[in-house]
Amino acid sequence: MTEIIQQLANGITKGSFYALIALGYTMVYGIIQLINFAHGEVFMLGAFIGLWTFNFGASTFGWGAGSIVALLAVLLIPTLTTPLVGVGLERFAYRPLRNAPRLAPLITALGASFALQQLVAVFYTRGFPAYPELFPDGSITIAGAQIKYLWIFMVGLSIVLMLGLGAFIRATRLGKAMRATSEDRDTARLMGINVDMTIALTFIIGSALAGIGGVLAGMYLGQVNFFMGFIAGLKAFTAAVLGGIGNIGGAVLGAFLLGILETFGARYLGGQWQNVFAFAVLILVLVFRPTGLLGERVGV
Amino acid sequence: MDTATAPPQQQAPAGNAVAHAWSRIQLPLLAAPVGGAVGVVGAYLYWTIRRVLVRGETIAGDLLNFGFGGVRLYVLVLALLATAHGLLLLLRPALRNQVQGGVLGYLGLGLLGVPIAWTFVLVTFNSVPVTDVGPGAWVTMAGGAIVWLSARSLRGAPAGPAPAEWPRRSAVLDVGLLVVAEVVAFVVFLHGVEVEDPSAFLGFFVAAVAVGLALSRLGVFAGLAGPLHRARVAAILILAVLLVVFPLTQSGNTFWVRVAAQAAILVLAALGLNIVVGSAGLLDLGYVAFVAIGAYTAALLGEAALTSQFGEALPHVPFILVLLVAAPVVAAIFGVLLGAPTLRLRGDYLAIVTLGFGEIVRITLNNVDPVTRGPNGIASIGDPGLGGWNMSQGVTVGGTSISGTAVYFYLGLSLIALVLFVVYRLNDSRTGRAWVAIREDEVAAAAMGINTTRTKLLAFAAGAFFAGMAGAELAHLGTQVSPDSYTFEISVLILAMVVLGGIGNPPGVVLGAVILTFLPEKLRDFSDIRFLIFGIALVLIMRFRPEGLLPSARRRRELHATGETAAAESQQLFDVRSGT
Repeated sequence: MTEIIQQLANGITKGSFYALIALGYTMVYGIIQLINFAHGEVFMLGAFIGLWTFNFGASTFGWGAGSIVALLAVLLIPTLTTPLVGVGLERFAYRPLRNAPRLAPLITALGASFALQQLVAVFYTRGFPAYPELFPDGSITIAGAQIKYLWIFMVGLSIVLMLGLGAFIRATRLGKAMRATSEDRDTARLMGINVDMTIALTFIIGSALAGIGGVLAGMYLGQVNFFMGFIAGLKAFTAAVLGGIGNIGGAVLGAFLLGILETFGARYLGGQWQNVFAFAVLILVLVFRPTGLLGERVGV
Repeated sequence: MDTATAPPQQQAPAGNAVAHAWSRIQLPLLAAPVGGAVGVVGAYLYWTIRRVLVRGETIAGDLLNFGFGGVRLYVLVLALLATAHGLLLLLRPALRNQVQGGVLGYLGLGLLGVPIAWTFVLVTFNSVPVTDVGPGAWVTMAGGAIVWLSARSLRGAPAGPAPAEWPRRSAVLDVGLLVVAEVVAFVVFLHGVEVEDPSAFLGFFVAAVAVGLALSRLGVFAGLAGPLHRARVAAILILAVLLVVFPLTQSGNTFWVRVAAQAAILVLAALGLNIVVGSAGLLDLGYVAFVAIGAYTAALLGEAALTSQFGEALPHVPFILVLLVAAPVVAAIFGVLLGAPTLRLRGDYLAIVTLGFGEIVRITLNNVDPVTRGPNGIASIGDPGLGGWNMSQGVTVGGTSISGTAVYFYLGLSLIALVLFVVYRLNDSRTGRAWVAIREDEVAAAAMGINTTRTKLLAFAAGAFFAGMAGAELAHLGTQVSPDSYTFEISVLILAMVVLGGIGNPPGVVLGAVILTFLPEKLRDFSDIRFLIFGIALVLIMRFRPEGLLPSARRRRELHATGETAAAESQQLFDVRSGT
């Protein structure tokens, strides 16, 4: 029992940052029907920007582990900077190709992903820089299973962000514009919606969530590397497909499910098969239920 | 802009003859031969202040002397071309049009770019202080800039002739033109292979690209398409002779022959991927998995591997059977296994599933120790033989010894010839046309009675088949296989070859694969940023030249129709409120 709860807690924590990435995937897919391969790299950049922020703060202001200012800065600065990357990608790589054949933006996305990943790789050739421990180290015990404070914080923060996003899309004018754009871009334009800006906004929100997800993942894993975005991005995409692409609730559900499935899979089948497990889930879902658990909804 | 067309009569001094001469000269254009001459002077000046040592050797062409070699030679050629072209434009006002302006502009940019590239490499990668770069480089840059600015004065000139195929004059002339074109290209390529110093090579590369662009603007390539269409067989024969000669030009050194053999293998793989991506329009991001499956099949069937595990119980499979049957068929079977359930999916889902499949294959190879020996891979695969002949030992024909590496290169060439033949026959077949129909519009294709799933499956299997073949040769060339050789990066590399060359056009794909195999070898000093450059290149190609270097005629029309016309139309229709 202890074992099961422990694995469950692990899986949910993992699921929380998968969910933060999956939201960006699913929103972008919902609005322009593009698999934004570079999204995983935005997540990776978020983690690295957090690390650079901390290193800068540590050498300039003498931040140490457990400093509240440091924690806030490391959470906020990546969240504010990754949207620039996302918008830059949208503006210079995807927007010019909006009317091109579908293969073109997909290859562009792949190239952008590759370029971003290798850009970081140039600085950290094969390194695994350690992530600062900013969160007080401690845990509560439930039925013998140790659950760290950090994990609770991560899951809590992600849930707050997701609920906030849901409310934003349901209740605000901009959210309404996003829904309209994803339903029918041309009609939305005729209704006076600034479609380009709405699409850019989608990238901004998605990238911000991925950026904060990167920081959380860095804290959770204790280290970062330049190829973490590739695998995490693939898994987040799997999660989005599992829940039903374009569907926000689905992405969150899919992410938590995938996190749990993966943790148990790795526990009982061996860690070296962990990634195979995620991909196998993806292929099985696509083959047997391509619209995902909650149904595909092209529309955010 | 007006300065180019309207002669500046105000300044004309008295006397009709002088005024006439002045009106023909035009100040901005006068700058072009001057800039070219400045470039010539630059080529003769010192390029470094002190003796620059890279890896213990003075870099190519002693740049402290006035001698030639390396980067100065390219600069001299470009500068002389720019001077001559500039003088021609001065003396022949009829030639002043945008085409000639473009040609002059590319020459100027080349003259500007060569020293910049050379300086960049020296300063960035060989840590030579920028103050050690001599006046020659700076003067040449100035000359290039002058030529380029001068060429810009022709932007308002008449458009000039549109590129067209050169008409037939005589069969001999056609073949002669092809011989000249191919031999020149071959010699330039050989020279590029010979240049060892990275700074000089980048200079060479920039110069070659500049001259290539200038020739393209001049319509030479479009013109050559005429003889090429009329004398296709001759063109192929000339190319075949040059390729066969290539290993003999390397005077016993097998390094570049080995690279050429690798290039041939990657051409095979890229041609296979081109069936999937180019013909059928299915984005396969895990294509390297099929290469891996072919390679492992060949390794396991190779003499050393399986027999050592299972004793002598297994029969020895001849290499030719492994290469042409076993490895490709096994890969194709995996292609069908992956494709059968997933090909019903939409295109972008397929991309991510194939990506996942590529990872699954790699991880599986890594983890199934008993068969694949895990991360270590299978080493010392036996030498392939044909009858009693050991291919890796090479052969002596009429007193000329051909190395084992060259034999692999020739083997690759024959396989390419075979695959190209099959590919062209396939593309013209009912199946090939069905692929194109599916690529264009799957729903319409299905409505026309095409069994889309089966047709797509066939494309997948064909692509995997050729990948398996490439993998088998790769395994034997490298004499070992390991999971690390078949990563996602290689899938992207092969995709980049297809995209760079021209999606859907086999000659373009061959060109793309050759470029992307040789360039990284030449730019080993940049190996850290190699994949970074690939990524950026993919983005830029899709943005500015989605049809690739050598597009198929259909693709070019398509992309330009959907890209520009459609975008323009939707702009007009919907630009009411949205501010872009």
